[in-house]
Amino acid sequence: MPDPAARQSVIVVDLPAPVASPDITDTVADTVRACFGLVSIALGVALRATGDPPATARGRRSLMSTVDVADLVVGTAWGAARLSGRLAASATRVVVPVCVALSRPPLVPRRMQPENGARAIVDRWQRDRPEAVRSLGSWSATALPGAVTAALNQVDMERMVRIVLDHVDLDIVVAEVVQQLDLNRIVSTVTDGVDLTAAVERVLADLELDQIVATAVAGVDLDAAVSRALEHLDIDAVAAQLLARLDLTQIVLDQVDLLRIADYVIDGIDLPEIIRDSTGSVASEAVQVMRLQGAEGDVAVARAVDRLLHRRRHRRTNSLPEQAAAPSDELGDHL
Amino acid sequence: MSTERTVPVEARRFQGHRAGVVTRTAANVVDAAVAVAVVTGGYVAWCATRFLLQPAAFSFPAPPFLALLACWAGVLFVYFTASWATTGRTYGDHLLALRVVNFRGDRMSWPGAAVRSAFCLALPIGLYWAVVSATSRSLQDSILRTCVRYDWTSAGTRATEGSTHHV
Repeated sequence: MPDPAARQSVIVVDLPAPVASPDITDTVADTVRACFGLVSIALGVALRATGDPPATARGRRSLMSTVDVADLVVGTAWGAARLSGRLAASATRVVVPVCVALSRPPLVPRRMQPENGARAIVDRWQRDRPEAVRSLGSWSATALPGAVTAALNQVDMERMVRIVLDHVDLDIVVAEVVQQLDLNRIVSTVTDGVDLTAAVERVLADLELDQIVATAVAGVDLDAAVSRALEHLDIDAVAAQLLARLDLTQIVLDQVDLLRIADYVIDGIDLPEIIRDSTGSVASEAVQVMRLQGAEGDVAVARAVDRLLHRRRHRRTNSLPEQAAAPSDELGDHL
Repeated sequence: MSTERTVPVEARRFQGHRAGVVTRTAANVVDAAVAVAVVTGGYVAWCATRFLLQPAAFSFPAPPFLALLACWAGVLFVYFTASWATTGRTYGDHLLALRVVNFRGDRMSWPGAAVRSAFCLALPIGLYWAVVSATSRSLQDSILRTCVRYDWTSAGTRATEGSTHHV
């Protein structure tokens, strides 16, 4: 980053390339026209600042307004300048040959001719001019900021900006700027040069998101907003689109413990009964009844015999280890 | 799904318990009938063979009763051994929802099944020791440490089979 002062000096030093020197009369004429232009602008500004002259009590305006007087003065000066210019042009036609003759007098050695002296003066100035311009640059680098600040302090910037904005069609300006900009290149340059992730993380770290969200939610009538959104929303289409993107089967397989659900359902139904009804297995209803009656016959016989034998304890018929450890593993206790 | 859930609700209280004499007798009756049917079938096949070989001189053979009894016993021996060593249940056991297992609660080995089969045929009355046994064991079960129990499952698994301590 270069020093601002140095940069300012560079601006001053970096003069445009010299162009062919115009005729002196044309230069003078252009200068005079420019001066009159400046005077005209200054007068316009000054007269606008003073405002229009008030009307008289009878509603008539004065004979000559300030503008008219100013134009009369400037017009007179402009006429005088034009006349002076013509006289000067006429005089130049006469004076120039005389000056040329005087600058190259005959019989005078070339070294001692006035033209040679003038040329030496010009050459010296052309050699010294860069240094002088550099000195001006250094001076401007130190003096201009203060001067600009002092000048800006005297200016009502807001009013000036308003005036400028009144005279500028921002839409056209912005459209023109956007049209001339290569936005893709600018965006790619910005994105290449910036770590967006880090930037976003920094921003998010600095933000009080909870507070922002709380403030936003407090200021929004969510019920009304949701109602309005739902009025304009085709929920069926959204749901259909969402479901088309989802693999519900895979989601269910990943998220749901199907075996546990199956166990829960099977616990609640008599699955063997359903299987028997649906498949007509060998274990038909008659066989089932026969089995149960046989088992209960076993229990009845065992109980009767135990009673005859005066057994105090029932038989231990359980062959399953977990049930055998239970306090009552006799089949008779379950019946 | 646990094997317990394949058992009918009303039968779950019996599942895994040692069977009593009623069901075991009924199962044995069925098995005896099966053996009779097999012997009868063999007799018919023998008669058919004889008829085909000598139709003119055919007459129904009249084997002695002891021979038929021996055949019946032989059929039962093979039938019991093969059934207990392969599925753990004969057809009678299947109808009455019984299963024969060894002292570990596993399916019996072929030698074990053969010994138990021979023991049952030699002393069938030993079954009725289960009437007075405090653990509903037959004489064969008590000596060979086997067990006949209720099993409503189609294929007995170790989870529902008996323990090594109570068989």
